[in-house]
Order: sequence, then structure tokens, then C-alpha cells
Amino acid sequence: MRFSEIWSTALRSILKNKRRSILTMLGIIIGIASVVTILAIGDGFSNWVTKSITNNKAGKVETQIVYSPNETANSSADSYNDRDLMLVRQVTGIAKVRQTSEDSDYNQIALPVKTKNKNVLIHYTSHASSPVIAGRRLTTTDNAIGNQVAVIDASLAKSLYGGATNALHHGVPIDNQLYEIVGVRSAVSSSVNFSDAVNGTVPANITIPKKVHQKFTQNTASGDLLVLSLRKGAKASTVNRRVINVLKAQGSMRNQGEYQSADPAAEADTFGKILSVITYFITAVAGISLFIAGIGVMNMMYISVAERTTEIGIRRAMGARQHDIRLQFLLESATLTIFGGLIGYGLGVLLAVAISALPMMPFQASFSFGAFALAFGVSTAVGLIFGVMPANAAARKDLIEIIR
Amino acid sequence: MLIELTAVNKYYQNGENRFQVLQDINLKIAAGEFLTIMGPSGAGKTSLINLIGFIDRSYLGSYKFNGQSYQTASDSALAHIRNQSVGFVFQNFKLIGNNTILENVELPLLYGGMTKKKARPIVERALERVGLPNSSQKIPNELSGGQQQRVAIARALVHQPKFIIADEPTGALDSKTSSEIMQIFKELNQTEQTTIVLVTHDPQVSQYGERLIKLLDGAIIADEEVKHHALL
Repeated sequence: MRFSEIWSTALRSILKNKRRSILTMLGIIIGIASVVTILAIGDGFSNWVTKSITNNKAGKVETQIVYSPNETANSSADSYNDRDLMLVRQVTGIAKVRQTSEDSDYNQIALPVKTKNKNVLIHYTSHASSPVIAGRRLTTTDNAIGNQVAVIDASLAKSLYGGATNALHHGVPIDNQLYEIVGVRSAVSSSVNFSDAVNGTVPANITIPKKVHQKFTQNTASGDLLVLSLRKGAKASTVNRRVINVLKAQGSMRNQGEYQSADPAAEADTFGKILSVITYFITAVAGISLFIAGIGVMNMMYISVAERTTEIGIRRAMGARQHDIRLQFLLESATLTIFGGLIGYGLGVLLAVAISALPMMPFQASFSFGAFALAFGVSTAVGLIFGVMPANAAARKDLIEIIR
Repeated sequence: MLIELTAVNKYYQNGENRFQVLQDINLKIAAGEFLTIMGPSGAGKTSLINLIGFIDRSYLGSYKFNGQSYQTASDSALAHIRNQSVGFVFQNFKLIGNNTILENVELPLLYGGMTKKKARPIVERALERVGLPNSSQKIPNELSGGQQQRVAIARALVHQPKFIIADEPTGALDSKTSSEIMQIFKELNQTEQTTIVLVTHDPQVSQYGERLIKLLDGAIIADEEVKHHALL
């Protein structure tokens, strides 16, 4: 008989026994649904974690190495030289190395104005500042020499000292340091907010030389940064450890300071561990469920073979080969479990969508073709593995015995 | 010669005892014959037709079908020759209960490699041939015994086998239905020259055939032309 005809025979016999078929499928449905749900949520979760710890659009994981000089160190020396960068680049697992400063060019601070604190935007610049209406601009020399000077805007000057010219040569406290006001620029609209400032050059309430600011802050948190882009599959914590070992042994500034890993992806490792424990647990439960479901399928197939002995005899008398009978029963059990698998997949998708729709879930479940292939493959395998023995029993029945 | 059995013996091993079911059977059946086998229970009738119908190949002696022996053929080869050459009609009809009439009758065609689509018109014609048009979508339980046996006959002839084996086809039917069924066999034999090997208890039934073989304790005790009485 043609394969398609055998399959349609198998399909019909499943449909003719709907209730029994559905009960048998239940175990497969539950097993597959739980695996699909946990995979979808796990994928969604790890996508979310990756997105939240990496700023680059490619979705690559980045980690950072911070160099902090000692008190005695010469702060003007560069934290990494070209040789350092080359050494780091050779560490396995690293795709790209970028040297940068941790400092942003803008910051928002609370400035005490009269009795209240006022939020003001500070711009740290190494270049010349915008034109002023009183006093002078900041120059590149201010930055190079390290003059502790500032340009503030007219409205801030007014609220601090009553007017633009009054403010000149007075002090403005920033990060516990007093900066001399050398210039006043036109008023900055109060509607400018922090996030706008990050996206471009925005007029700031206060402008000070970058280097001066760095001098005061670098002993606490700053120091130069190495941003490491990791290769796919490289583990953040391992790569960081390797890089620090290399720098500690051969880094140009190893005697003047300390290298530390500032690893935003280390959190991801922890999340990942928790997630994989949960995944293993659910997979184990689902595995047991599928195994028991498989035994259920086997049991049902044996019953089916027993009560259809006459049918087998008739088919054999009409010219069915042992192979045809075996295939018929094998396809019957595989079809049953594939149906179960597909229903389970659908149920798992619904469940994952429902879970990610809960208000406390910060991320969306993500569905991959892999999960679908897994559901399909596993359910087919269960049907075939647990269907082989009953199918063989059906095929090996002695025709002379059963045709009487 | 279509069927040729020479010195066929068959034994059953039952524990310590060896029980002989067929004794030195010599039998030739030509194409187009209508042969009736009669004999009491345990005479070996079923063993004989199982052997002829390629269901049983554990025998001693020689059975040649169209000059060829299938005694050592593989199970698949045997299934194939059954499919191509034999149509079976059983006493208890042996229709698959939860399949439709169409699905039952098309079986020999499907196992012969035909598609359902191609098989369907052939099945309809076979059902018409046995007097059951338009019943292909019914299930066996909706039909009377006589109708079910007609379905079984349709199934036995749908693939145009070389011969039909009918094992007590009227054993479960009343006498009126029996004669209707036997009439179908007789017509088949006379109009289409279908070879029929029929087993029965009933002397009345044997009247429809042309040649009668009597079995007793596994041996042929008579092989004669049927003396036709007036049929009922």
C-alpha cells in the first residue's frame, strides 16, 4: 500500500477513537507545553537582559576595565598606551577594544540657590565655550592649564547673585569645589532636560573645563576605561579575568595604579545561571512527563493491537505485508504524539504570551523556530520509540491463528 | 493447471502427539472450475484452503500455483501473491467494523498499490455487481448479514483474483439469503469464469458447484461431478 494511504488509515483510526486518543495525548501536551513555555520565557528573558546590559545596537555584550591611579600617580599620564591595547586585543574572546573615559560631557547636579536646591545642567568641555554676554569665554588654555573657572548662564547668574555682571568673579560650588565665574552666557531655557543634553550639544547652565573636573573626581570613581566587545559565546567574567591578569603582569601603568573590572555583564551571568537552573528543572519535569506519556501511548497501542487482531488478519489476507501492518501502527502512534506535540506547542505559546502579559513581567516571551522544531521532533520521537514494540507485535501476529 | 497439489501432508504438533490434518492430498483445479469441498468438522477443510490460499506454507509435498511453488517464498512475496491471486470470503464476513463499506472493499486494491481515488469507481462497480449499489458510505453494522456477505464477495472479486476461496460463506445465513448468495457465486462462475473453491457443510449449497470433493480425517474420499437436483 502507498505510504499516503497507510497514513490516512492511521489517521482515521485515531479520529474514530477520539476520547481515548485525546486522553493518551494529554501527557505529551503537558510535557511539550511546559518546555515551550519555559523556552519562550527564557529566550525573552535573556534577550531582555542582553538588551539592558549592552548599549550597542548589535546586541553584543560589552564589559569594561577601569584603571584607577594611586594617590601618588601622575594624573596626566595616559592610563593605557598602544602596547596595552595591543595586549588586550590578543586576549581570547575579545572582538574589539575601545578606550574611553567614563565621564560624560554633561551632568545634572543639584545646586544650592538661596534656600533651595536647583537642578542645573553642567557641561564639561575641553574646547572653547559658547559666546558670553559678560566676562569672557572658556578657552582651550583653561582646560590645558587647569584653571578652576566657570561660565554660567544669565538666569542662574540672576538667581545666584542678582545679575550677570554681579556674578563675575564670584564662586559657584560644583562637586564641593568652588569655581570662579569668569563669564555669563545668555539664559538657557529651563525646558532643556537631561536626556536632550545627552543626545547632542545642548546649552548648559554651567560650563567648566573638563580636565579640571576630572582632576577632582578621578580619585573616587573615574580613571580611564577600556570597553571590551566580546565575541559571541565568550563569557564576560572569564574574559575580564584574563584581561586583568594580562594588564597586571604587563600593563604600562601597573605600578602606578590598579586595574579593576567594571562588568555590567557579570549580572547577566548570574541571571543566566538562575535561568538555566529553572530551565533544567522544568525540562526534567517535562522529560518525566513525556516518558510517562510515551508509556501511555505504548499501552494504548498494545490495547489497540489486541482489539484489532481481526482487522490485522483481514488486512494480511488481503495482501498486507508485515511491513504494511508495522507502518500502519507506527504511523498511528507517531501521528497521535505529533498531534499532541502541536497542541502542546500551541498551548505553550498561549501560556508564554499570557505570562508575559502579566503586569509584573518586564519582558516579552520570544518564540524561536528551534523551540517549534524541538516540540515537533520530541513528540515524533516519543511516538516512534514507544510505538515500535506494539507495531512489531501487530506485524508478527501469526496469520493462521488470527484468520480463523 | 491453476492449482496442483501433489502428495500434500500436514501435521500439527500438539505436545507429545503429532496429529495429521491432511493425508496425501492430490488435487488439481483448473481455471474456471467451481469446486465444493465438503466434510465434517475437523476433516481438514480449513487447513486445505489455508494452504491453497497462501496463508499457510508449513506442509509437506508440493503445491504448485500456475506451475510455481511458493513454499519457501518470503512473507512479503506471499502477501503479494495473496493480493494478486486470491479473494477470500469468510463465514463470519470479516469486515472491518468501524470502516465504511468503501474502505473495506478497496483494501485489496490499495494493498496492490492503487490510490484511493482510482480505487473508488472500481469499488462502486463491484458493489453494483453484488447488488449493493449506493451503499459505499455505510458501515457494516448498518447492513443485514446477507448484505454484509455481499460486501465480502465484492471485496473478494474487486481486484479480479485468479480464484476465490469461500469458507462456509452461508454458514451464518438463513436459507433464503444463502441461496441468494450462492446465486451470486454461480453467476460469477458462469458469466465471468471465476474459479471458485467453496467449503461447506450444507449439501444444499454443494448443489451450486460442478465438482464436489469430500474430505474425511484429512484425506480425500470422493472427487466427483455434482449430480444436479432440482434447485430450490
